[in-house]
Amino acid sequence: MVYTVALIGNPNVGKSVIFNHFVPGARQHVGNWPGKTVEKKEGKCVHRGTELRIVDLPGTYSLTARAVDELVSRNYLVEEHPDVVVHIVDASNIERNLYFTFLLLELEANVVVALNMSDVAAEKGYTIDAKELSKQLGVPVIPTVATANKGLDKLKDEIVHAAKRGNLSAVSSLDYGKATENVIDSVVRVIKKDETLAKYPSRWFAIKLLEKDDDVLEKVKGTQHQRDLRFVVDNAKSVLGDDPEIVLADKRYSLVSKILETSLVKGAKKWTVTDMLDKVFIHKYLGIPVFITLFWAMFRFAYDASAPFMEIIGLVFETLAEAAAGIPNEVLASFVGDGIFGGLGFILTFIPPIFFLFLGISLLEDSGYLARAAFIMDRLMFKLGLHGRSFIPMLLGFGCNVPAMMATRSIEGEKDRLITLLVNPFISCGARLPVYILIAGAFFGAMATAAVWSMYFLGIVVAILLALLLRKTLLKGEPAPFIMELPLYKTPTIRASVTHMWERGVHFLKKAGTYLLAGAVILWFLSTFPWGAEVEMSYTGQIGHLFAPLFAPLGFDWRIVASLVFALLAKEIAVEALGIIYAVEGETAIAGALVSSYNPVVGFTLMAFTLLYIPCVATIGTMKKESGSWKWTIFQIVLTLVVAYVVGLVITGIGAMLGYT
Amino acid sequence: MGFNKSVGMQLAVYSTVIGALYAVFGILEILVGWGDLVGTGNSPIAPLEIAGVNIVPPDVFGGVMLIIIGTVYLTGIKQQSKGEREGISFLFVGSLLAAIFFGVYLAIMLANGVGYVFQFEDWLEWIWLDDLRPGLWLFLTALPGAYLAFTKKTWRE
Repeated sequence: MVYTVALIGNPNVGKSVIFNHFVPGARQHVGNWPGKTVEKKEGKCVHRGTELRIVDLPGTYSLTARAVDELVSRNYLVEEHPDVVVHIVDASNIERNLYFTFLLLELEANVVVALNMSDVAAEKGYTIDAKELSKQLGVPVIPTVATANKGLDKLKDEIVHAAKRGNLSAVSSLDYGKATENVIDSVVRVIKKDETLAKYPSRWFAIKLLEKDDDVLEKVKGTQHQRDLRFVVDNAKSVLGDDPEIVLADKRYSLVSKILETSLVKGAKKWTVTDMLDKVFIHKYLGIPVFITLFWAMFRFAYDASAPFMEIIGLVFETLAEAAAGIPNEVLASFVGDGIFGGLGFILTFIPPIFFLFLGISLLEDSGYLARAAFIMDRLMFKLGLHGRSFIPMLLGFGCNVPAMMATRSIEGEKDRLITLLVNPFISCGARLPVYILIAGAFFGAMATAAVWSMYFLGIVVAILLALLLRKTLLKGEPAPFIMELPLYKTPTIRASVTHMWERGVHFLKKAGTYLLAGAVILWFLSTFPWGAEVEMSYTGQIGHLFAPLFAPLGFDWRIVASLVFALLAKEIAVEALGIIYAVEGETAIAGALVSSYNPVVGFTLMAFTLLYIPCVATIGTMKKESGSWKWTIFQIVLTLVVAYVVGLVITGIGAMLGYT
Repeated sequence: MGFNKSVGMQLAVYSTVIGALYAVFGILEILVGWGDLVGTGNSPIAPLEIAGVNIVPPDVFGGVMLIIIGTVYLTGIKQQSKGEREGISFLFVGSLLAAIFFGVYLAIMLANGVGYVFQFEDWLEWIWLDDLRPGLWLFLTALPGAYLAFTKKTWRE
């Protein structure tokens, strides 16, 4: 028999670490910030002859579904009824975490508590009596340090034992007092009479109904006893003397305090490294400058330290292209030399800066700084009427906009989430980096890093301003309060950071072997045929010329326009297209050719336009999936195009004032 | 020994010196690089050289980053001089940022060394002294503070 085991807990308590330990070969992304897991992940393992199906659920603070990822966790527990629910508790924040244990017990789940991060709790001066805690809660409690693989075998033993034994959750320990229990009982009686609602755990359903949970209220609509339930719920406040949600929460917290009186001893708290770092990293005035400094260092590293390695790859492909010129068949020689080595090979020279940038992002993520960046930006964003949580998906967008848009599932409030989805493509992903490096290297010399960095800055500024505009117009409302737990700082390990760099970077390599290779073949064909014609008269030239008049005010000629059209598939294709167009024209030194064709303002405008205009196909698909609406997806396409054009005009105008025409 | 006013006063003096050094060299990098930023090539001061070695390169944005590091050091001196342990945080983070920039500039120097070894066109005339920027050598002055901030755990109790 296969037993199903769900891993659940607050965000960033080590669920994914435990999942990876349990499931052989699992590589669930582990990062030091809350909200990484937005979808449930499954794997299997065998422990002492018993087969277990492990399900890693998104982190959640409550079972009152307000965000999409919370709903995923709750629906799974309510509808799938796993054999064992492992509640992973952050022992260093035990008060708040135990509150969630009570929510699980209310759900009548077969709970095993993993008292994780016990080492951090000890550092904070906490001594927790796990046996006493287990006795008080009525469920097994196992101390663990998942990152050090401590206590996990014992946890697995207990899971197997609990699965075979069945549920013994001590629901009776949750006594809300006579008046509240009477109200709960009256709701339970009605629920049990209703055929539709009988499938849910009745006591849990009654409590959620009293708390006016949106999802539960929705489930009650149209049922036989809807009117009776409404009556009891509406009268609960007058019976209890306060809002039932407040009464129930108060009672749970007082139960937590009572249990911890006998199971927790707090010693003297040391001033930790996390305290010291946070004193500056989230400082009222220094926080944002320090954030800028760290991101500057990251881009400097990605751009400057990668230059010789780009040269090495470039030389390899240049040599191969020269060798291809010796192929007797003229068409084949052009295809291999100009299409494969000139186009695909050219884009592959950008592997070093992309990987270096991803290494920098991984280091910031693993250290725990990413969460602070969101925290300091929240002050600014909240003043602008935006949701601070939106900044985490924005930061993730530096890697790729697709997972970044999926990360918006942790945002509470539909409007907040939609705003974040709409502006996320303005955040510069790794795919745009080759365009910046090519253009900045060609036009800006010693200021190249600053030019690249300015694009990331421009992306954030445009995203924030657009979000503000949407908040004031189409998506009016107040942002939901931003509550985010700041994780402890950790020294990033080389292994973990390199693994995370690889996880992000391999996406680019896969793209190179699929989209970019296909793009190179198509682009070569369109740029070479009709055979013998000048590139300008080729199909690519014709496409470029068709749209060029629209972009003439930005200083873009047919070559740039054609490359931007093809880059709709993937942004890197802009560089690949320029590589092929110039290669077919007989130019190998593309940077030099760009400088002789355009001025620095056109270069900067092209960088900004590439950053802001219509996102790639994958991002558009994700927008449709996440928003569930073609209307908003089309709106995003139009919005990005208009914004890119307007910003391009502004840059061109400023350039004209400086004498660049 | 725990953190007290006497230790704090010494740290405050140290932080003032290091903070001022980072800030001054940051300002110099901005002034030297201003001409490049505005595109005229005319900067308020010429690149600073000692024995033919350029010790302050033209780098406006790099200069801004040095000023921010200096500011972090300087922000902590008030609390340090009062003997408040929170003041160590600024020395700690200032040292951390200084170390990060040291690491980045060292990585760039090593990468350029690779370019030189392979004799690539852009690196033919490169010498390691070209990359000896304030962000690198100033870290040597920040090292003692970094060592104390990271190792003196008794100061945090």
